[in-house]
Amino acid sequence: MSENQIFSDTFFAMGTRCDVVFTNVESEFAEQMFHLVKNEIVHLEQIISRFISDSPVSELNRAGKNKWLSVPEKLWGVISLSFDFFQMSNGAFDVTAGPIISLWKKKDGNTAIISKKEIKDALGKSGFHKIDMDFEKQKIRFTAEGMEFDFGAIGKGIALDTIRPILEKNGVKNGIISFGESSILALGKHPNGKNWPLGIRNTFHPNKCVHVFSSSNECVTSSGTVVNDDKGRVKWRNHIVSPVYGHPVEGNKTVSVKSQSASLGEFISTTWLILPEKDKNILAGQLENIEILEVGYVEENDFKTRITIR
Amino acid sequence: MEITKKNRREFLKGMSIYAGSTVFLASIPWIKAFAGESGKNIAPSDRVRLGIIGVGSRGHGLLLNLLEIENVEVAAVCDNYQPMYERAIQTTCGKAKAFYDYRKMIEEFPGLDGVVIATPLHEHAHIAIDCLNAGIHVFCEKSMARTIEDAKQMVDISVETGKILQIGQQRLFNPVYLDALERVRMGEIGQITQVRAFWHRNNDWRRPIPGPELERKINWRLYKEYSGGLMTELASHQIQVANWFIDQVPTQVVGTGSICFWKDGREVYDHVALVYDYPGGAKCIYDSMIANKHYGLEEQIMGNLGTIEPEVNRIYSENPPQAPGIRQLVNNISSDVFDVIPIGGATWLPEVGVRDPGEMIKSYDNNDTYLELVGFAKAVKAGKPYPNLLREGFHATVASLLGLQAMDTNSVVNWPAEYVMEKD
Repeated sequence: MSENQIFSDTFFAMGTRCDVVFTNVESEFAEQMFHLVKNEIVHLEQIISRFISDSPVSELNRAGKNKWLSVPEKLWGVISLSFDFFQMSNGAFDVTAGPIISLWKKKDGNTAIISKKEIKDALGKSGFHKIDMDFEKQKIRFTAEGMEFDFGAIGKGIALDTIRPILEKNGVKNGIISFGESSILALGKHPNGKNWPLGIRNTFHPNKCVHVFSSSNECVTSSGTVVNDDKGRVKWRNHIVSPVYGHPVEGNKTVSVKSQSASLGEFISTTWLILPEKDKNILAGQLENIEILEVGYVEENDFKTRITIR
Repeated sequence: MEITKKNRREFLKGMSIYAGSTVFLASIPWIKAFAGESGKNIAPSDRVRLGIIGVGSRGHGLLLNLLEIENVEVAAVCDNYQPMYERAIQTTCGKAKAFYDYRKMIEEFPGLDGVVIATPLHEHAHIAIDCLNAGIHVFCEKSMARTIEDAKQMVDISVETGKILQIGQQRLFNPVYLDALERVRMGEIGQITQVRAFWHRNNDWRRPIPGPELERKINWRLYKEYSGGLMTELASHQIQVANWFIDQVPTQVVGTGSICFWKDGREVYDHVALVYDYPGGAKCIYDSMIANKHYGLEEQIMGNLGTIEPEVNRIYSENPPQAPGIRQLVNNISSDVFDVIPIGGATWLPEVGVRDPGEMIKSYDNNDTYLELVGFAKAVKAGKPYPNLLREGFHATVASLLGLQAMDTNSVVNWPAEYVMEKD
């Protein structure tokens, strides 16, 4: 029988399940911390989810163009960060790309049935540069009709960055917080090791790992163009679309990032799928304390990896 | 109007899924009888001739369901209220012989195989007893009777005559409840410690009357002489579910009732709250009111491992499954193993709802009222009652009337030993 005290529980938020594991903490305290995490994340979701009809984001999304809209403090922070990422990536990471992503999703990525006009129309409703921001008054204004925010690509990262200091302040030293195994905060270390060995599965051979991130007080996030089932068969394709050109990323690729900030990790893992090599090199030059794993699946039994460490 | 008969084989195909679980079937013998049905073509000799007594709102619903059953002939209809009498004739396209008086009906139809009784509550007992004594099988709407003594007498006469007395607790035939019950018996939600059940509506529970002289006849549910109010009309359904899932008979009940919103001359409570205790400490916490409908109706069946909400067809785990990599991590730590935690890749889980979505218990098409009537027709054809089925209806009636007694006397009411029916 192990002497390691483990607490684990699961709840549902942000469109997926969130697994929480704490080690070496007394069970009642662990339960309190679990509820703290849950409440904080649910609260954040109520602010930034476009699927909750009375969330501040939904209110903004319903407002239409050319109206100055006051933004609550917490949401302003999320919008500002998203704007920074938009600028850093030359528009490759864009939380207003919903219309163009929806178009490809609706047509299931079939290029044959998507016209240039449809792409042009969808791009007309996308683009952070079409949003006016008043930083002093914390207001925004959509300058095109049909625009909306969708923080799906970054929300879980923001959630992990929000709860990390809260847990640390409360004395939680070791644990894992995992959103659907794709956005993970690894606090402290595994009870039997010096870190948490987070292994990125081979998407076509789920029992094998293509890389292991040794993580301690770090986050690991992943994005990819393909999601497979437990036997490695393609379950569905994620339509990662370039918000600049309006076309989806081709091929079977995943990008996993180990970083201090989960929000940054989410930003990089998505952006790395979209940006051309030259732009990635420029952006990498601005980063530090980060490991980026790119996996390209050539065939089902063949893959190539590249790791960028800054 | 052309009545389309449902395909009995399709229905039986749906029910036959229970055939594989022998242990479970032993606990619901009425369904076992369904599962054993061959589904072959129905010969004329398989048909059962039924009469229906009381074709008001519930009775009319039962009649419509009966007309859809392939091997049932509705030979007679009976109601002593002219508009209902005429509607029943119309509904049966004049094929059923109509009566104002049930006594005349059973006299003129000595060959009637069975009757369905859906009259006001206070009339159930004497009509059912007369029919049983006349050698006619009886399906009686719930609750069984206005008093426990009457209900007990109905059971006794049924046993003496050997005739079927089936009570209209339709959840006993509902595929969602049956599936949920099997999952409970398999231990999926652990030990049930509480059933929290409620039925909330927001209306005065009145029916329109053509003149004041018909008030008590039409709005019989509001008067103590004829009805136990919310307890006999609504609670009996849900307390039956609690008894059935906990698989025990309550030991005692406490409660309070009041007329708190609809102060319009009615005599029955418009708001009730009760606690039923079971041997071993489980409880059914029940309330019903008719001045707010926000929460609707539900039986929240709570075990230490999960919760079932059969009305909305959901089951929830106390411990939702972890993602596979995290599950492996927890197992490894428990075994002092330091190993790679597999994440991402194939284990990415599909997106789900904002809150714990639970899981659907079962998808099904047939309504449970139809199913219970099919069950009755089949029992009538076989000429014998299903084991333990009457027990469920009787205990539900006793529970609702003892609850009423607890509220009326403002006291703890124990369940008398003579009102416990042992299992067959």
